[in-house]
Amino acid sequence: MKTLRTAFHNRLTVAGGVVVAILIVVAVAAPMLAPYDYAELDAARVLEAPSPAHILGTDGLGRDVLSRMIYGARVSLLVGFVSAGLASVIGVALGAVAGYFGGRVDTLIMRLVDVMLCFPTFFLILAVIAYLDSSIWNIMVVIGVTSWMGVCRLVRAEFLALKKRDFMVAAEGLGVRPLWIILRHGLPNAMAPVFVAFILGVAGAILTESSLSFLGIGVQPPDPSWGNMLTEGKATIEVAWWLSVFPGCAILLTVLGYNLLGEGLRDVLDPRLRNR
Amino acid sequence: MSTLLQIDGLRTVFDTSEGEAVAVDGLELSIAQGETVGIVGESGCGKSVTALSVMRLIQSPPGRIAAGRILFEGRDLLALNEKQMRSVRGNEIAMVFQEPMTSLNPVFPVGAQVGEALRIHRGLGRAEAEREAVRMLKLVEIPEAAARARDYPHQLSGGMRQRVMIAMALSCEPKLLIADEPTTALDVTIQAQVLDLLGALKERIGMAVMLITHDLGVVAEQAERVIVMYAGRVVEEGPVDRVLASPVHPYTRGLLASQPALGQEHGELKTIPGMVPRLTELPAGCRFRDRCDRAEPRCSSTDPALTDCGPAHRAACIVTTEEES
Amino acid sequence: MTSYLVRRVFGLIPLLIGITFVSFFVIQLAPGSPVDVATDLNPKASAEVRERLQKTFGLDQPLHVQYGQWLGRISRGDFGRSFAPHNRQVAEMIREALPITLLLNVMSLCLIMGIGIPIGVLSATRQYSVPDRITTVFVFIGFAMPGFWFALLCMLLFGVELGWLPISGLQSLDYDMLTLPQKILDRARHLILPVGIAGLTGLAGISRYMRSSMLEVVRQDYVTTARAKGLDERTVIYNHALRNALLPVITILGLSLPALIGGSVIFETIFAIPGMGRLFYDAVLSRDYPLVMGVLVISAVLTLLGNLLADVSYALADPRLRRR
Repeated sequence: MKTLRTAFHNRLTVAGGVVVAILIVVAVAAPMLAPYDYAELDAARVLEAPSPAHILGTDGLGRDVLSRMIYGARVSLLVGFVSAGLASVIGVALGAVAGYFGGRVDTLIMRLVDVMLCFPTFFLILAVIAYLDSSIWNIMVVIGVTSWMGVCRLVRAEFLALKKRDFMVAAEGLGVRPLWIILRHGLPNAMAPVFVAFILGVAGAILTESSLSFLGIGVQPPDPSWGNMLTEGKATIEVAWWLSVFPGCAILLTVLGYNLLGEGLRDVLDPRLRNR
Repeated sequence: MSTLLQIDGLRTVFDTSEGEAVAVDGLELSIAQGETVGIVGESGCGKSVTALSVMRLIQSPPGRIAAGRILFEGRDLLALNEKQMRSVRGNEIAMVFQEPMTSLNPVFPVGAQVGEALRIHRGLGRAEAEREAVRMLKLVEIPEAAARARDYPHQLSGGMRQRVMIAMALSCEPKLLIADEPTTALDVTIQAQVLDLLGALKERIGMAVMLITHDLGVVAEQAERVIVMYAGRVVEEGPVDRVLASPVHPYTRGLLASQPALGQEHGELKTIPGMVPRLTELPAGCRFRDRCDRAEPRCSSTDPALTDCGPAHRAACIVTTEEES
Repeated sequence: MTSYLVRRVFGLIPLLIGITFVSFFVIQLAPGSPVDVATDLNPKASAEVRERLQKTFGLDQPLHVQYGQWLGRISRGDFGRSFAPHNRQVAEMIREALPITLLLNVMSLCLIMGIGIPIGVLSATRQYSVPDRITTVFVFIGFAMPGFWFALLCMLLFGVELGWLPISGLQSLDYDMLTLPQKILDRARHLILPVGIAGLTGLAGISRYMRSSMLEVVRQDYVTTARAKGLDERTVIYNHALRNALLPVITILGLSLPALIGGSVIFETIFAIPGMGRLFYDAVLSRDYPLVMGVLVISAVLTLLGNLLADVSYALADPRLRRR
């Protein structure tokens, strides 16, 4: 029975990994895969339903939906990785410092985490974007700066446990500098949950970015993002169902892929962690 | 004394990723009315699984009772449907568990938990059950019982909690009490108190007790008969005085020999070499032979059955029972 | 119990101060200043006028003084005036929109609890069975589904294709001419999609958490004890086990408040509901800074209060916390 379960889990995780890999390939090879250029207009075939020429239909300016979706993968990937990466870096830094040094530094950082968690993340992001303009870089930074709290707590917990272990105490006894201890001895041991959090963070960032673009605050047209394609979908909901369906499927599959991969890795890495 | 509980050929297995683990294999056991029987053996020998099998509390999956009969007052418990079994549990057969810390529900007051069995099995209303619960708590010698009844488990000490467990089990005056290591988790001084309490209550209600423990001292004090288990089987059984004074089976001899004597100052503690075989890879023939100092070649081909070696005394060893006769 | 409450409330104060800090920090990000907004459209504004305006806004003071002044104002409930042409008090605008958002979120929460908790319990008691697997699949999809897309699909299906439900606003155009029962029905029909979708998207987390909490509790010794007493399985699960399994879920519900409030931006905008979320969205688009700030601070305070409520509920429910 147990082997059946693990096999099922593993297959799902692998499926997630496959989806993620496919997406990366699509994003990188976009110009070669897309049948049309994403900005190519065809005034004669505006708002056309899926057809052999345009497999997923066209939008209000006659642009091919499939091609725009392929290029949209680039945006999602970029935002996902950079935002999650930034959040991880901040979270790891603050978490390691809080966990290792403890005391007032720890309390201060934890208070900061508590305060940040009081704000509905979306509200905070929107508020900050209100003050800056909505370029893609600003979006990535803002998402990164508002989603580091989970990683921070994880890393802090790891460091709190690691601190007591012999090799850490030994290093301190030898007079090694704290920064060196954190980077060289602490982090390698704490990385597994961070990696999982990163992957799940990418999924979250993609969801957030698409929501922002949908509201018109993220990626601006004519640059294609799955989110802003859905904005048009909503506007034309009564005449062009394909604009509302396909980009959303892309978001769903991508996020699902990352979630499955992340969760699967967590199951694999977790028990090993506990046995250490 | 008539037989209250009779177990024949009980076989309980667990399906694991490494195959079928046979926890209890062909167990034979009987308990007479009002009798206290001690079941001893090391961890993993199947004592707790036997108890859970009688109560039909084996988690399925992954476990299941594969074969055997459990006759309680003549009725085969294994043939009952779930509803009938439920009227037996807590009512005619009750159980006390090892860990008082975790065996009580943290969100209900202890009085309510003690009275719960009465409400189901005797149909008492809430107020009546509460009164009865207080009476039971007094019976198990908990001071200020009425106030304690409204306390939550976390407010009581370990010894008190175990008394509550006993009160809970005895509330419907069961005919058989199964006590699974009831004192193992307690301090030595509290142990003695709880055991005395059990003895006194047993007399009062006239119930039989299946006392499961790994502590030979407890068995010596409380039990009339003792059953020694090893790797899912009974290897020796008999009156407590006889078995402890003149054990027949090499395993029992080893157990007794490894107990340090009071006043013994130096010398190594005697141990039984080797380890219990894995339940998924049980050897053919006698299961103890790899650790036995009396093993002979025929021990690996014959499955030793329980043979008489004295009045009401049986052991499952071909070699030593031959000597006795 | 009261001492616990008092301590909790006192613990909120540093958080409140922290919220104001962060919010004030965000304000400082503005590339321009209120002065620019006031004078940008007026090319004839001289340096003198600008200086006077600066003084009025208190912008000539050092930062910490500005913070103090701002803090003083908002603690009195004065969040300033909106930059929009109507120039209304921000506090008033929020006061109008807030009840609608609260209503929506409370209803969603009820839906989440009402469906999510039973699903979690059933999943746990029938682990690895077919219903459990199906629910797990749905939960995973729920986690990956963008809420606004789900809303769009439902609008497409129920609003456009089937025409069963209205897709915008809180009431129909002819609301005022309806009788009372018709009014109630009209309101209800308008609420079904927004509340339903917000609830369904939040379902995934709670049901999963409930499932794992339940699985852990069912393994506990006291559940075996309950069975050994002869209790039927239903009582064991729904009485003994559930009471314990619900405790951590209460905390999670409290922690999911920020997500619910944040989500209202999307749902209110999509369904054109005049709540706080939509107010915020419009304010962001039009760079109406006082309104943006006001809503931000209020939403954070709401989250704080929600967490307090969750903590108090937990303390009431868990006897281990009630005394001493």
